[in-house]
Amino acid sequence: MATHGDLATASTTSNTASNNNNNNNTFASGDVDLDQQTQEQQSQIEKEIANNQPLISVKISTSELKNEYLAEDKVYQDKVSELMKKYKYLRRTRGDGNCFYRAFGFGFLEEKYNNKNDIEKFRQLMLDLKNKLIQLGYLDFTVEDVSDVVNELIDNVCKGGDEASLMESFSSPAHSDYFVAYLRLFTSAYLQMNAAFFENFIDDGKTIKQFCNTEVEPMGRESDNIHITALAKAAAVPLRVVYMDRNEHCLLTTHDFSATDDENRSTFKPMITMLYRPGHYDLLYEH
Amino acid sequence: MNTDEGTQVKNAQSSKPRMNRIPNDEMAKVMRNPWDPLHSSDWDECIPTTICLRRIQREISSMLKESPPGMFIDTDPDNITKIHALIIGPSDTPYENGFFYFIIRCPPNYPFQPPRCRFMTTANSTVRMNPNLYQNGKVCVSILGTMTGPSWAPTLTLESLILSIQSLLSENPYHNAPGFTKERRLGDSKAYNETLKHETLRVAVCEMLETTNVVPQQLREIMIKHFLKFYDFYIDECNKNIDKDGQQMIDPFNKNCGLFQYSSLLTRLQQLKYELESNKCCNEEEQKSDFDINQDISSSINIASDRLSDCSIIADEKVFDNERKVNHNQDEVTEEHANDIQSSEKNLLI
Repeated sequence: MATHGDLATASTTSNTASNNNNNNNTFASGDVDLDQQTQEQQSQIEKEIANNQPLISVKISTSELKNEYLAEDKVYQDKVSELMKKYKYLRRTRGDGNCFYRAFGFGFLEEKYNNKNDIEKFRQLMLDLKNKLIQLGYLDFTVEDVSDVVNELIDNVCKGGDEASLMESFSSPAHSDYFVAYLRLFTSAYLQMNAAFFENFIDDGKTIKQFCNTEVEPMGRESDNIHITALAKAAAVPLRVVYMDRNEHCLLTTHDFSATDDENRSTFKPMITMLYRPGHYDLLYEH
Repeated sequence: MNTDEGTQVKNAQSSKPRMNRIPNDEMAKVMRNPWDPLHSSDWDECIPTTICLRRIQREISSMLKESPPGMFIDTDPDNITKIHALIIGPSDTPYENGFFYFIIRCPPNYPFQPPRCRFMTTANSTVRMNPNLYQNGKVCVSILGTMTGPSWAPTLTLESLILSIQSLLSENPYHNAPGFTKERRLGDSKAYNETLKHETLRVAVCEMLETTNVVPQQLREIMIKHFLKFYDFYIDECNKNIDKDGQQMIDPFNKNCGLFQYSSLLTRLQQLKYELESNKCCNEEEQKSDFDINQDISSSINIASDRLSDCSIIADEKVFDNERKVNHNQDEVTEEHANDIQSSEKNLLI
């Protein structure tokens, strides 16, 4: 018995999702197919998206957004006009559930790759994070694996020193996805270290750890305000999100996510700006 | 290009993606068994990135160096993304000292997608050893994406997967099944355990050892040593339960199970011991005479590590062509299985 007990503990500490009794699953023979079908359809959709959308696009004019909506769709057309006043360019990200993190990573490096000091600071943050994650019970070599590849990506971008090398690094799924995985871990660690605060924002009775295991760390899970708040603080990056939705009462809503707790609202200056349309984030650039 | 993108966004918004490609036969097989490492032709088409191979290598080396008790892995000579895993049934469970063999395959973009895993100790798809280990080899574990619950994340490893599977082999597996937290009929869980104990001896001990070439040689050697070390345990179990012979086994998850036959198991175990020991005697004259299970395991690990580094050298080269061929052959073999599985699933429904 001793061995088995030990293993059960080991499995929790190494962040293993074990198989609890309370999950409804594919057990009853009748619903096996349903589960399988969902999975099939899901992978089909993912494949479609991967074939048709680049991970990250070149800058395009915000006026192109007009073509995405019907001419008679007044709500959106007005909002695009409003957006064009302030923002000149847009950079699309692939709609694979990782768009927020990918946009964040790209936006950050795009701003910083020529700034040796800030890049060094970021590497230091990564090192700190690695130690924190190991303290939180993560296996050291999986964390190392992720940070090694991210460091490699940063090296490549800095060596290239231009937008083209940034585009190249972020278009290679292996590197780009590692950056996403890294930012997910970063978010997760920050949430876990500030569990007492963030627990108030999780409504389905999950603990922060469970929330991170199900909603933050797995690839493809979409981001909500809680993820954004955490990552902006963790990486010390002031972030602005411009919301464009079907709300007819206002043109555009802007949300600022501060990098520190005591940031002054009136002098807030974002390092990265994103456009949010329900379920998706793209990067925005001012005039 | 831009207008193209525009339409895609519209499509995404209406959440009706186009599906105009007709999957070929291979893809259909993959789609039918999206969990199955032996039907992974979709993965054979992509060459794993060097980053992916490096990660798999790291994981394998770390497990070969030090793996949790009761679990062993071996690499595949042709394909580094394919891993053979053996779990020895934990003590104080109905699976005690049984040999449970799994084939795991890592995707070409590992660790971003979960591996696929197939349970091989099913007596040709006839025995369901656990509510979460189906006859057809499907392993229901949330991190594999085969049941609801926490999903895969890049921080998880092959070891986390094997640990998660090992935790299925528990004291009262009846309660692993969703909706079976309470017994449906009094005594169900105990009766199920009795069945599993018998099937562990029959399928996960006798059948696993009686046929050679079921598992890679390294793992077979571990099994043989464990068998000989715990031979008395197996015999005791048979003697303790021999009065059940001729009674119907009870399995709430599989109506077609047979009768208890401990006396025939006893004969098979004795025969096995005789055969394995006479084989071992021949081998041992060449090797060292005193036999220490740990030492032997560590030596097999060294061999596996050597093989691993061989793999890595050729990994980037033409191996993938061969791999494709090998997998293709496997597909043909398992095609028959798939048919069996379907008919056995039908039986289940009836």
